[in-house]
Amino acid sequence: MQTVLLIDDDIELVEMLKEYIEQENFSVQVAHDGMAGAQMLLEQSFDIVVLDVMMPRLNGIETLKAIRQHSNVPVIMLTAKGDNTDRIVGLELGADDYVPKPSSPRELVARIRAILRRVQPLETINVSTKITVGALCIWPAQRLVEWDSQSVILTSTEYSLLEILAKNAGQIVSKQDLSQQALGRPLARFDRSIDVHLSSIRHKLGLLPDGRHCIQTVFRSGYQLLKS
Amino acid sequence: MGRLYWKFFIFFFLAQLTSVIGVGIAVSIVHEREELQREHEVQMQAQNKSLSPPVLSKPYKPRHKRWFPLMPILVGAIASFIFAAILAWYFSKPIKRLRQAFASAANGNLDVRIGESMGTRRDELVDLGNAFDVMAVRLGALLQSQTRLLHQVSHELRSPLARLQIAVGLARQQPDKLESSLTRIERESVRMDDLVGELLALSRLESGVIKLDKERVNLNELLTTVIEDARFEGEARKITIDYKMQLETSDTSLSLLGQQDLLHRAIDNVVRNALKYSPSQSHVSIKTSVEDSLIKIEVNDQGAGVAEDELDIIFQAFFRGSNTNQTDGHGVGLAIAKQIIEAHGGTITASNIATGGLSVVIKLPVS
Repeated sequence: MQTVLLIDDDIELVEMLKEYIEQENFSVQVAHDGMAGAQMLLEQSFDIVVLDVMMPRLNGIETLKAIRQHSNVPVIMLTAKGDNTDRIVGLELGADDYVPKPSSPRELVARIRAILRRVQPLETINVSTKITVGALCIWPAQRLVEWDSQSVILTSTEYSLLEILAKNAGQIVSKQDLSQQALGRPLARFDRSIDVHLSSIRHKLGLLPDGRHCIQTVFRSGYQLLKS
Repeated sequence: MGRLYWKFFIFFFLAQLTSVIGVGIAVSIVHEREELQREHEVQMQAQNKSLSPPVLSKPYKPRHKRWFPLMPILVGAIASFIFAAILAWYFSKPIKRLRQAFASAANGNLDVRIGESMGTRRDELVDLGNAFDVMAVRLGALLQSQTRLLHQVSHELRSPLARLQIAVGLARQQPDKLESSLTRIERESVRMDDLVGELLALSRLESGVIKLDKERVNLNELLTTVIEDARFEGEARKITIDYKMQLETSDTSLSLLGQQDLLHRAIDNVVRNALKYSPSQSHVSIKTSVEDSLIKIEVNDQGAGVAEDELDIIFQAFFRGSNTNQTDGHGVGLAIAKQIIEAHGGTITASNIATGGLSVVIKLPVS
């Protein structure tokens, strides 16, 4: 059974949410503040973390920073509707996706499933399969990435996006397709998630010999991983 | 240069020009008269010398044309032109600055300050500028607090909404447990209703719309009912409440002028707050005393207290101490209590007790 860690300060809400998610066949543990949550992540491993942004003491963003220091576990943030700054800051710090709060728990469970499905290595992939694009090497079975033989640490969403681009290297992939395949949901209006994720991938990968970034934005069309 | 500048300029220039020309004419008249006098004297002397009869038939004719001080007037005109320009600038500049400031304030930018741009001058125009600054600061602060309140209200309404959504989700997911889900949904909607009611009360109190309907209130009776309710509520968590009255005089009835239901609400909110943050099996102690014509009500609990730097802001709406995980309630109670107590001319303060817990002291004037 897959394990979910819920970090939210609203005790009653967490109780109900726990009950709901457990009914969907997950094992759920809860933490009522960021510090406790980050501590639990150190002690045991979880498949996915659901993190509320608005919390007293260590707030969601700070908690995310603390988690990302030693873990690449997928993180879904619960953000207030319409609060774009929190979303972008969260995505920049390596959150995988966000769900507005309040929203239906069904939506949250769907997002959890979408991310977990992606993260799980498919058994059909041959362990030695390798995608190489220039200096970039990707092992889909282990979800490992290397640039110039240096290993690159990516969050799971960043990895998924890079894998899609690498499989279509040289071609333009639209933002809509990227969102659908990597996040498991259609792109919402004014949604900047994909841009934020890709900009953080760019920072983690090196430059091409001619000084360009290997991932190019194609205005109004999407993104492209350069072949050479 | 604005219209006002040119008006000032023309006004000053004309005024100065008129006075220069006026003085010029006056000087020239005086000059003419002196000339006439001198002419006359010269004639008289000539007559005396020649002993000829006075020439009356021949009127005096000036030998040269009228003397007019053209040069001084020209210089005066130029000087007044320059002075008018400077003077007009001196008066119209601060007014122009003020107008710009008002315009930008009207556009919603309350960060403009004009005090500094007035330099070292001191006059009514500078006072006006300073008054504008004070107004802008005050309006900015008010606006900011309103925005903050609105932000917090929306956040605060979201929490019960989020719980409602999940309760609905649970009801869908497990139709067999419909009854418990419905109970939750009902509880959340009641909570939201309470919150909206309290917010309305708070905003009415803050805006000063409520006129106190003052009557003589027996604080003793009021406290007794509050404490009875609190005892009933504390029973479940085995919290005991003791009440001590320390009176210097033999008069055992504490009474003051005020609105009974509001005072009840204020004291009730404070006591309930103490109860809420008390651990099970602890004490809440309430003491009343009269000091220097002030009725002092002290409510002490044995909870976690409040961080020192948060002591002042616990009376702000929606503040929740970082020492607690409590999510019940709305965070409006103490804010309402403060508004009510202050409307009655009293004060309310909080401090930490050395042995642990929070002490809230209400002081109300005996009327």
